[in-house]
Amino acid sequence: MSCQYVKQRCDEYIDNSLSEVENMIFKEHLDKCPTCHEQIQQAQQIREALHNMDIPPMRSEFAQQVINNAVQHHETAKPNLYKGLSLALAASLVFVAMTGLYFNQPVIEDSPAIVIGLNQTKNVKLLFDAKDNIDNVSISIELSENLTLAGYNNSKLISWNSQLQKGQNVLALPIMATEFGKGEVIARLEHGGKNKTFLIQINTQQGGSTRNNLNPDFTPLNV
Amino acid sequence: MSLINLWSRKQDKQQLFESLLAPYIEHLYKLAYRFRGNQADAEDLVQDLLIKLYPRTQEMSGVENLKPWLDKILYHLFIDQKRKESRSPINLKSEDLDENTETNHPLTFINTQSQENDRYLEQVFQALNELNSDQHSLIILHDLEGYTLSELEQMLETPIGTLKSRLNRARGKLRELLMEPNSNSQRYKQMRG
Ligand SMILES: [Zn+2]
Repeated sequence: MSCQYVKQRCDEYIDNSLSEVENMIFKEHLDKCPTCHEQIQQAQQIREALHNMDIPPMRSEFAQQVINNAVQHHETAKPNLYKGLSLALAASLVFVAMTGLYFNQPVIEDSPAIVIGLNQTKNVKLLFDAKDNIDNVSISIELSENLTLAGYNNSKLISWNSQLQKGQNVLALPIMATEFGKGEVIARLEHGGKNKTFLIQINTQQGGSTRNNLNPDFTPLNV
Repeated sequence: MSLINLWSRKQDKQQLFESLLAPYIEHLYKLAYRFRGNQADAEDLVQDLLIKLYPRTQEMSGVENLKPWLDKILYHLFIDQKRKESRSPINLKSEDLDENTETNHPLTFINTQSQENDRYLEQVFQALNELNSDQHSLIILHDLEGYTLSELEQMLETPIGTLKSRLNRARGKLRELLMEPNSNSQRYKQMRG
């Protein structure tokens, strides 16, 4: 083996990726040749030194910061359609109050019908009155064919887990009427095997309602 | 009165993004530090990376082994940064900026028993910075992060032959820079026995 060969293969030797036989021949040369021996030793030493370089520890808050910044960068940079939508709807809010959420038995609650103009969106606010904090409530919202939830890709059923705080809890639904007719929204809350279902009737009207006669805005539902 | 959050895809995406990346932030910070050599630039590099990644959250959730995937993008981002910096007419190195501050010292070292030892390690670090960014990052990814050359062939999208000769030149240059007779390297060796 020549010094030239050692020069060519020294990286593989350092990386320990030579075959057993090659490795043996390599070592034999190093034992006989002080120049190559010295070179390899230096290379290994540099490698060792690299590993010994320490890095100042990451700031403890950095991980959360860097994630939040990235999310914000994308979520706030674009014009927020949904935000614009709810501003436009500010004048036509409908409140439906649902009090006394006890989760005793399945109960269906009816509300007075809400009217929405065709192709218009109305922010319907459901008001849940909870006796206590309730963790892990499964909420599902089901819409009839002529209704859709603005921004939700025409999904007819969405469900998710949430929690209720003791007292009043507001759930705002941007409901859009896509066809004429009588429709309904069913809100279902489930917790610990018990559930309660609310029915909100929504009628679609021609021309849309620029109703400022929503008086009172807030229609409580008696249980 | 409390507000119930309506189910939202946006929230799901944010949660997914966070759950995918949170386990790797510290690793990415360290790798970025090795690339950039100071804390501020390392943090910036990680921030840039995450901003790039957020729109790719869905794609990320399908990646089987996320670490090399992330390292690869971080590496390319680092190389891009270096290219932009070298094209920029004003080329401020961060060590020029905070020359007089306490944080000037770019690295702290283990084995601080000996100042001599420290000095050698510092020289190694400086020598590393004298390599071009391709060589520099190859040394970091291969020698420090332990990626094999065939793994790096995929990751850096560079043929293995090129990587082999690049590694050889990089190591050669490091030796050259650190090898003056009677240098600290010699003493370091003697010290380490
Ligand atoms: Zn030789």
